[in-house]
Amino acid sequence: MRGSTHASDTHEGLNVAKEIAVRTPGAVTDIFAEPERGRAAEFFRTSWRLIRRNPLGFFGLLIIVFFAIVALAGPPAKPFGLSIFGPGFAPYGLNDFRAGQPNEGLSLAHPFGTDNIGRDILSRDIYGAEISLSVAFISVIGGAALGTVFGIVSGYTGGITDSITQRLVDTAIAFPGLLLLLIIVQVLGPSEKTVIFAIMLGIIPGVTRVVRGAALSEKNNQYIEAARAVGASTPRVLFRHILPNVLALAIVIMTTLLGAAILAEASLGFLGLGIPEPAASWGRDVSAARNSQPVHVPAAIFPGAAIALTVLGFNMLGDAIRDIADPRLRGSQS
Amino acid sequence: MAGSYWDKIAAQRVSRRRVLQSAGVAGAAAGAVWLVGCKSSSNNGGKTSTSGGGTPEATAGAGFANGGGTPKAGGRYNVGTSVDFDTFDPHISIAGGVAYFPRLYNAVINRSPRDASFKFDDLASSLEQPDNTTYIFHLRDNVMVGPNKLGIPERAMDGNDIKASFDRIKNLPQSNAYAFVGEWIDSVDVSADAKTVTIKTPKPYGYFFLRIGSAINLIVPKELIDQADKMKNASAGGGPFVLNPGDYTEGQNALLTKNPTYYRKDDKNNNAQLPYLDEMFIKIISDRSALQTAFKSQQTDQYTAQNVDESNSLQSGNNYTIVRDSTNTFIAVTLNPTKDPWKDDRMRKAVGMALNRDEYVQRVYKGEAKPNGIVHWSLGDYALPPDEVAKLQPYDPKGARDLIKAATGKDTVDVTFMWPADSIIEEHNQHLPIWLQQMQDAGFNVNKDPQAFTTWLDNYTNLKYDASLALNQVYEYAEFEMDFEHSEGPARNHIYTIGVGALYPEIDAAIDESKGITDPEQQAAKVRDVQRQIYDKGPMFYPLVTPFSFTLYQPYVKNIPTGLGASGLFLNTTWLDK
Amino acid sequence: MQRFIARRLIIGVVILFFLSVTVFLLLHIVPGDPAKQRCGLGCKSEQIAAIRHELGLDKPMFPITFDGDAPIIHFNGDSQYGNWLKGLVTGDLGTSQYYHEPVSRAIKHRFPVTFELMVLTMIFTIVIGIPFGILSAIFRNSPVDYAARVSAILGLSVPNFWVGTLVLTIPVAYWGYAPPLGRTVSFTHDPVGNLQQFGPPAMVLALASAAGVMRLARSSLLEVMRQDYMRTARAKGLGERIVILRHAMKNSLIPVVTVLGLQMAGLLGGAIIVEQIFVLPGIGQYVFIELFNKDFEVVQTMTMYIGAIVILLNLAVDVSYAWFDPRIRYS
Repeated sequence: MRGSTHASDTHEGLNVAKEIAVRTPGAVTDIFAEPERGRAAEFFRTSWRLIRRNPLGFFGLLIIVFFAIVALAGPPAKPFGLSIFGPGFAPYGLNDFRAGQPNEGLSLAHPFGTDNIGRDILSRDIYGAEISLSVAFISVIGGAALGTVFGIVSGYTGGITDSITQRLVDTAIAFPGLLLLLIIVQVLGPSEKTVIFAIMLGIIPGVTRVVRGAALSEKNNQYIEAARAVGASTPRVLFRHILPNVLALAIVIMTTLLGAAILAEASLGFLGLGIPEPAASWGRDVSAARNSQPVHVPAAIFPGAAIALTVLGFNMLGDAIRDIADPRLRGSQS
Repeated sequence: MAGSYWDKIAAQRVSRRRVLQSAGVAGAAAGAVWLVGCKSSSNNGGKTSTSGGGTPEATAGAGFANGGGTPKAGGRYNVGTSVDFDTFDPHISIAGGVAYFPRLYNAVINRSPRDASFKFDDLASSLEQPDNTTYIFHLRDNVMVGPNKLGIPERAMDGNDIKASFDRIKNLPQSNAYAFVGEWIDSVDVSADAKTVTIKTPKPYGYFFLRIGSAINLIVPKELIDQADKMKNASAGGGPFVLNPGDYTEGQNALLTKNPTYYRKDDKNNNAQLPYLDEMFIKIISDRSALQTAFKSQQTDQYTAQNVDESNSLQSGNNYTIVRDSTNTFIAVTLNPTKDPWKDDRMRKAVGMALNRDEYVQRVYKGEAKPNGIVHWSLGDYALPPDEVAKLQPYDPKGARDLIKAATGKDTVDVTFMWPADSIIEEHNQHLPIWLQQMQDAGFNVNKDPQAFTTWLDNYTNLKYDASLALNQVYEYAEFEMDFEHSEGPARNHIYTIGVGALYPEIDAAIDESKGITDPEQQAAKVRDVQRQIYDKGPMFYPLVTPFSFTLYQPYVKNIPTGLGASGLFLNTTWLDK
Repeated sequence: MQRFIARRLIIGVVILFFLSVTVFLLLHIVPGDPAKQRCGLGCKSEQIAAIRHELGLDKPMFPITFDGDAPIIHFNGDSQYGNWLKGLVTGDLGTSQYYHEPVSRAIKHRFPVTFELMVLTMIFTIVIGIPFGILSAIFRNSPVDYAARVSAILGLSVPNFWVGTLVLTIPVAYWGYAPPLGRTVSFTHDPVGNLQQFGPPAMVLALASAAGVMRLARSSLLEVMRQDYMRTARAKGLGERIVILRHAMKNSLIPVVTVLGLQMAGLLGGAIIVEQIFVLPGIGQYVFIELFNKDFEVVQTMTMYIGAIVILLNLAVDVSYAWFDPRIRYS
């Protein structure tokens, strides 16, 4: 059903897919299927209408854009990093503990204060944005891509492949979400790569199931039969016909999953099995603040607030996209 | 002892400091104790207690906090500990229990590594040393096994119990003192009347007195050794408390009850029966902030703060007794002598010069720590004097760069440093960025290699690394730190980092020699000399700084032993004024 | 109906089997030697060997091994995986190397804690989520609706460890108040103390679940209110209130009930983070500490235990859904 629960913790997030798959009857409207009119004015008018109807979604988009800018331009650029703006606008370095005294309060020099060895929290949070967003995007895009492929192949092929895939997916979903991530990271050792890998593994089963459901229903559509009748080969059918329709569904899910991925990385960091020092993982910073005595409140509040804001942005945007994609509920807005 | 037991603790990333912290007892360097009125005095020589079982005198450097008043008997003492007990078997336990075993069982004798004049004679009331490998202990006859529910007869402990305990450890590879007993106890002979025990060491061993009374080789009644399973959740022995079956709930708490027939009396208080406390209730609270909350709401009677700031902030508006003691923990940099570039003396010295120990003292410990030489400063005379340490390992990044240039011809050098990434000890996480920066400043291009703990341990013990930032090390005795610089490592079986002795056999010989000196003063002097030798060549192992610990007690906790380290656990003159 | 249930049960068993193989493999590809790690540094080799034997690590991994050259399959009665599986089925769940306590005893002590936390959380979830969801749907687009929707989306977005940390540290800092810690207080002995202990963590957990339920109840009710038969009912002239109460609510709550079931399954598996922060000795905290201390045998067993609960509850949810909606039964 529409509007089913969003990602709040990983476990729920991974169950979103299950709910959608089990409860969604039939096809998903292709949000790109609007007739082409191509005028700039028309575009702006449509956009304005969308914004007015989904103020929260627009606000969410703004938040995401804000954090994207912070992540892209805040930290200094380095190879394989997300940031592209050379020097970066973060006032201090990632590990510049000589920037201030430990546990300073808010000041002009340190608008968010300093952490337990003197590093500027504002700067650390900026670096954390890069980590959170890059981990989230890589794991979600990778996981969703792989999940989509598995789902389409499984749903379209049917038979034994489908049964086995289904059971494997069921197994993965029976695994309690956070625990799966913790086990993978503990076994492979905490690092950025293993965290990304773990979150990806957590995402794939859910996406596979949803996409499989969609592929199954698409498979029985008339135009697929028609295409096959004309002799279209399987890959052609898969890519030209099934994939585009399924893609819309995948995109809707992805915004939800991005929020879930950020929470997952933060939770891993908080529990001590995330991206290790000296990287500035938001979750880990909250835990470090909590483990220091006395608890320095700014060090605990700001990274956590950053997590909440970012996830909020993705959730609001995801809500809006879903509302737009589903015409049946559009009417409910008026 | 330091070898296998404390390493297990370190390997489990539960530092012994945390264990001892939860017991609230930390040691102090001789003469460096914050106390009301009890400064060290050379006139106050250590008095050995007689067979009457009186209280040892507060000796030089150690003392009691919040003393005074007439002790009242009774009451329950609540402690919070973050580490659960794995077993109450004092010979094999590797978590949590160590701080409590001296409450349940007896030692032969106990000496404190923090305070050379502290002598606690438990089962033995006196001893003779006819030569430097023989120790003859004359035992008391009034240490009774207390009333217990394990069916152990309430008789006097004697030499047969001592022999049985040491024999058990010798034949049980899982026991913590296995290496010590195997290597240093040649024979344990009991006289016919079981009142005298003669222990021989294979060669002269200067650390014998320090290790014989350790909490990991306490003496258990021989009947209980035959039914060792019962020791998992209960106890029976001659100690001041007993753990009755059913009084330990896994993961929750443990209740120690007073032993009414404990042999010691307080000779400063009309020979009142010890212990004063009726019960000790140990709550297992694995979360640090929960531990603090419990103390603040008076659910526990003591709390070890993480640093002076926390201690001060807890104290504001309250009237806790704060005990500031030294500790035995430090984080160390270890270099691998089988790898370039560490075979070159200059490179090792460059590492030493890159380390600005003051920065750790200030940033991590807010000034409440002191820099370490090769032997950490809280081990009293075994450590070099601070100004000499400062001269032998100066902070000189420019000098480091010069050395690197001289050794390699380049301005900077690439090195890979590894460390265990998943540390829950926040100090370790705080040290890391500081250390990385200091290395960088001195010309070392650090290639960061954080690893999972098991992988790190594997690489560490197989010498598959360049350099490592090691976890919280906890060493009660200088022996272990010296062995770190020995070519065979602490377990003398190469399963460890190999020290600079691998490059210089004369250092190996000097370390071996220092082990065999049985006179404590002479041994300490030799250990200091060996350190100078090592500095001359460039150490392979650099302990960074050792902090003070701050333990807070509720105002009604009276007569808290300080400055003795784990030895304070054998005293039971603490009482509750409520 | 019975065939439906039977089929699901069989599938559940198959899934459990796959789960056992997966988790066993996962936890045995660990690099490093667990025996050496337990023994510690500076251990002599006979000590390490003794511990290896004690841990059973010198046995073969799987019951089936292939002979190198010849295509012969050997069956080993005494393999690590085989012994573990046998233990699971017969109820011998092994012993924790960290706590030195049988796992079954730990579960017995800890399950009531997690169970109570789950019950309290579900109570908060239902009491907050459903009424607000319904109100939100009835008065849609009103300020109440917007406020509820914004709160819900906030509830879903804030990290529970952050809220939990603030909930614990701020009262202590300003008012010196702390819930009882270190020992769970039984409800029958001390209801107030018990609620003091379990209330705050349940509220933290309910933030997210109530938010989800609220949104679901709202959208579900809205959807049902649109359905054709609703228009018919209105056309018949029934009052709006009766229309809603009688027709819409019952049907719209069906998906809510199923989601509640899913949430229950998740909570029974143990809320790791919240149990850790509030020091509740439940299943979640147990599994986490065992995992953190690399006692992998226990983690395997607990994963199976939690997986079985999740599968059973999912089955119950599916059965209830199928019972409500007969179309599903025959799909």
